[in-house]
Amino acid sequence: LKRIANLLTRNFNKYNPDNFEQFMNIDGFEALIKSIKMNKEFIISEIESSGLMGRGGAAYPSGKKMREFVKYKGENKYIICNADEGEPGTFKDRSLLELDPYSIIEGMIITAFAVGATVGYVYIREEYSYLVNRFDQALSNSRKNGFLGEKIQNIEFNFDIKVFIGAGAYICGEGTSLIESIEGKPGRPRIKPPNTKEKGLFNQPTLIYNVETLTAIKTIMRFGSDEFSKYGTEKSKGTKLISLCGNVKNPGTYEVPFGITLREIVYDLGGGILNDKQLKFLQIGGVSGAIFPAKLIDTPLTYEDFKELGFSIGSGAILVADNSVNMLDFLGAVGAFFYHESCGKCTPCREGNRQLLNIYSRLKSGTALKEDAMNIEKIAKVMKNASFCGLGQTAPTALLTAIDFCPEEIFRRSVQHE
Amino acid sequence: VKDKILNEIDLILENIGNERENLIPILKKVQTLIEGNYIPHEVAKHIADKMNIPESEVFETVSFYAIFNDKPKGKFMIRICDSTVCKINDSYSIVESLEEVLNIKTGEVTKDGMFSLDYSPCFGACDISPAIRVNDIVYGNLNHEKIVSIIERIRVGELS
Repeated sequence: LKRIANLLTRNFNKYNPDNFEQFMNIDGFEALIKSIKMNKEFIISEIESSGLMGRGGAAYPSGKKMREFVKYKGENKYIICNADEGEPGTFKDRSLLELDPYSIIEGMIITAFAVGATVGYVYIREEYSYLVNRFDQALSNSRKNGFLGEKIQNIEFNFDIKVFIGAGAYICGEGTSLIESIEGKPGRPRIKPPNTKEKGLFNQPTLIYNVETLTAIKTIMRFGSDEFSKYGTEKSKGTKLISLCGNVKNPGTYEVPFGITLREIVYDLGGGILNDKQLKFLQIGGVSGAIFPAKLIDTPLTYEDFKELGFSIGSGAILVADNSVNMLDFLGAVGAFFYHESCGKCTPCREGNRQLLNIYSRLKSGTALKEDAMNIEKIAKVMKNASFCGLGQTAPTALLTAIDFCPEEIFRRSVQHE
Repeated sequence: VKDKILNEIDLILENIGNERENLIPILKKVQTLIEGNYIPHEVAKHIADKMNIPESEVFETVSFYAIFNDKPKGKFMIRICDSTVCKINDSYSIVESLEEVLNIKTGEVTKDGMFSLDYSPCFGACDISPAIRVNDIVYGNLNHEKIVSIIERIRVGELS
């Protein structure tokens, strides 16, 4: 097993992203040129057989999504690149935007060709505004050289990409909220069905992929699905970009093959815990992800191993916390984030997050009541099961998993006030 | 708000186009025109009239998104990440340093209108945590000395 893979990140630091000629010399839109000579069915079946799953967090099979999308008809068919990377602890899409913008664009053009889309949007989070100039430049270079616009590479294929810059809202990473935001409205989630594939942006069929997924699509079309699925395990094919951060010596974006263990990630790639302290826990998938106690450090990073534990890989954020981190403070920071970012549409999320924060502060100050210890889990479960969208459903994940592995640290002081 | 600003707002509406879906880019552009980086009530009403939408829809959008302010901020808006990664990397001491150097509390604006200090959710700089944003620019791996130097360099115009 190779510790670091070099598939999606192959172009990193190999060309100056502001220099189109350099990109053409080392890469040359080879995947795109090859793809548009194939029939559309070939592209879709390549993505299907690669085993690629959505890299934004939901892990929906990307090829299946493409195939389902083809059947929807509309005046316009849109594809959206979701670059609203708002999950705290996650910055791998930032690396892709910074170091290889052309591969994202290429992935979008190939996808558009395969599914018959005419317009693409890249939704870049406001916090990454400083990367927009570079991306715009890459779009205009692609346009000037016949890779975007009308009659791409002189065939009957028209497709162009617009950039939409967000305005600062975590919820807009959720597909339907993102669409509301492009339409100029506050980003509150829509009810499903209809799925966005059927009625999305401006009520037209809309296909949404994460930045990393689009880069993977380009990579699969360049090297073939066999090459891609050489990496990883039987059920988790390919590689994953992870954002390693927290109390770790070498934080950063890494590309790893699925199957690598968390220990290898933290100690071999990350160089171990900062100041050589002891590991207390990991939080994987961002603030909406599960808390992994140190004893699970030998878990392999795969969809199947995580599923067995009841966890999810999510965006691929890996936060490392040393033994000086106080669990209640940590949960308080997670809770404050969700309280701030809840859009307020549904009661379980809006009120649940508020109540959790109140209970955390009582637990912290030692003024918690006996019923707080019972209510905290009840509230968390209502949020998980009854919230309108993924935000509220995953907001209590950290709490529920922390209660499992260190209840004594959370409830230590509450008993005194029976 | 001066007529001159309202005229400039009309120009922005003309350039971007006053279709409903352009509200967010319009508000962003308008906010940069106004001293204190915010959308005053009067401006929100003006935009609503020109776009032929209810004022409440403009205000709803302003209050929903973090980038829009309904109260004046500094010329340099300093935002401290208050998410988990920066907190476990001791962003608390960064907050203390900033409050000391700027002589304001988080949530306030300096008397000269140069700086405002606020918390922000994670802006994806966890690899260089603890981090702050000054307008669009991200500064990371911070400590007290770095903060003193950043603020000083902004004050004398070396950093923008």
